[in-house]
Amino acid sequence: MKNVGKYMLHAAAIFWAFTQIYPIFFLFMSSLKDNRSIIVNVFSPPGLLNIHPENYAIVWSGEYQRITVGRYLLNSAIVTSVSTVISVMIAMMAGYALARYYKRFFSILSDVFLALIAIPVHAVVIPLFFIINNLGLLNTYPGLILPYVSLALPFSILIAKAFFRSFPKEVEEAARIDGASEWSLLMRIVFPISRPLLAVLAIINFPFFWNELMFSIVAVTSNDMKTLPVGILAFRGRPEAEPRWDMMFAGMAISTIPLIIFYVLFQRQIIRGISVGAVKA
Amino acid sequence: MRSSRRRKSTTGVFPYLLVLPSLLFILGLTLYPIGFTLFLSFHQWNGLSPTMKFIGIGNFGRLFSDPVFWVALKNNVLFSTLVTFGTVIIGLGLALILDKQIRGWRIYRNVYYFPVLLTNAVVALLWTRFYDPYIGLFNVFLKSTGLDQYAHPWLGDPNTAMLAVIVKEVWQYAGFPMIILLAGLASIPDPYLEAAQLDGATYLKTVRWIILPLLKNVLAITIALQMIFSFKVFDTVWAMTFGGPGNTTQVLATYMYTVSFGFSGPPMEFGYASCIATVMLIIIFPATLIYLRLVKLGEMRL
Repeated sequence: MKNVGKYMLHAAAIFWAFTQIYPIFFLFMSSLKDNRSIIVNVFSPPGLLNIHPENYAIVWSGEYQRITVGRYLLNSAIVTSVSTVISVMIAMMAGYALARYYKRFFSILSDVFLALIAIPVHAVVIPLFFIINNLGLLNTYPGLILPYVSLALPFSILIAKAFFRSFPKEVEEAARIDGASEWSLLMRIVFPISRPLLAVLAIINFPFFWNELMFSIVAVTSNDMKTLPVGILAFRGRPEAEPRWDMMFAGMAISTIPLIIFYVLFQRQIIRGISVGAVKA
Repeated sequence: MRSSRRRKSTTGVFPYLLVLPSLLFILGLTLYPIGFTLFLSFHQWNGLSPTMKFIGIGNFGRLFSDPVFWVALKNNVLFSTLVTFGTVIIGLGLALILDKQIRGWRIYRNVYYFPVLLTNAVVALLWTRFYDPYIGLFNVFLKSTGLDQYAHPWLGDPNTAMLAVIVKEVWQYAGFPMIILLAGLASIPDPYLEAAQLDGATYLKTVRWIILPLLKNVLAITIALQMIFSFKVFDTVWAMTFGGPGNTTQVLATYMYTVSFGFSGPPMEFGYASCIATVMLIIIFPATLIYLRLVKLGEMRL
């Protein structure tokens, strides 16, 4: 009887794992097939002599419908990494100040940042579009990076503050006695030993920037500046005689590979970071 | 405290310089936009004209008599309720299974979480293909097993479109509550469970009378978080249906975009769209604040 229960648990675990893996497997399998076999043999993998890795090359370089997934990937990589670096840096600076200096102004500021976490993107996205437009930054990297940083800041700052609150002060005290200036203390002593914080902030913010669609879809209209989520939607519903599923699957596969690499490299930190991320709605 | 008082006199402007960049970002790109959204919601503006016409609460009056708004609001409630229900039930089941530390449970956990990380728009597009009437997985499967009569244009039929979108979201995000609940389960002291076992309680009884009551707080937090998160839905619906067919899958966020930004052609109504954004703010802001109170972000430990 006990064994039966155990088998059922295993069966359920395997079943859900299958439902999670199969769609991703299906995506990669289909991305290597030609259009005809995608339509005719929906479920079967590509025949050994009928594998089409060139699908990737075609969508990469824009030979199909001027869709240049390689370019989108580059744009996403630039926007995501720069946004992550900037937001982590200035969130750590602010978080440190809020945690270490007991002034009325800072406690008010903490409450403001806490309240701002509760602001949905929807409430700022229309004005953001016009601000970026007035600054002449539509279809530029800063036009995405600046709003992304501001969207990520309130939550990042409060995580940084919580981190520095639980961070021993002795090291700083010692350095201060040695006559280090506040700035060099921060840059040369505090930040270098704040790696765990850096990791948590980067891991929470990176996927948010990488996947962001709501703002980028209006701030980017030129093909050369599209990020992956925006660019990939170009595969949707083209009014042509024969839809090219092979192209679409290859495009989606390319945009999924970086996330797989990211997850394989950092899965332990990501899973651990979620308990922190859970606070973010 | 003692040391902080001493430092006060020596630090000068330094701490202010540290918060300055964040402050500039927040003032210019968050607080000002919020004010602008509120301002716009009382105006009529096509985004191009140099003047905005003040119309008082005209936008709100129009919104509350707009049938599409009510459909969108209903869909938001339906979406976030069902997605929360689905992901939390599945997530709880998975967490209970993995908490028994069956062989390979860490691998299962990592597999279950992976879709959460995937790009929403890409997953949505993939599922659009799964729902395709001709070559979609569901219909091909149904036809090959002789269940032809159930084959269906899932996203094309107003009766099933919303449900199809919800199923995709549950598939992608069930791993999220699972992780939180798994952490909650791990914090239940073993003696409670051992005592129940000694009393001869079956596993299901232990879950019902010991585990669930002890998990109550974590469960409440998870449910609140999923409700708020899924109420903000945009990407999934935008990528799968654009709010169609015939506005039947419209949610507030997609409707806001439909009436502005020219996605549905002119007129672009940014005042009206801001009014929708304001309504979303009025719903989401207090809900999230209450949630943040619940989890006590200020006292969080890393």
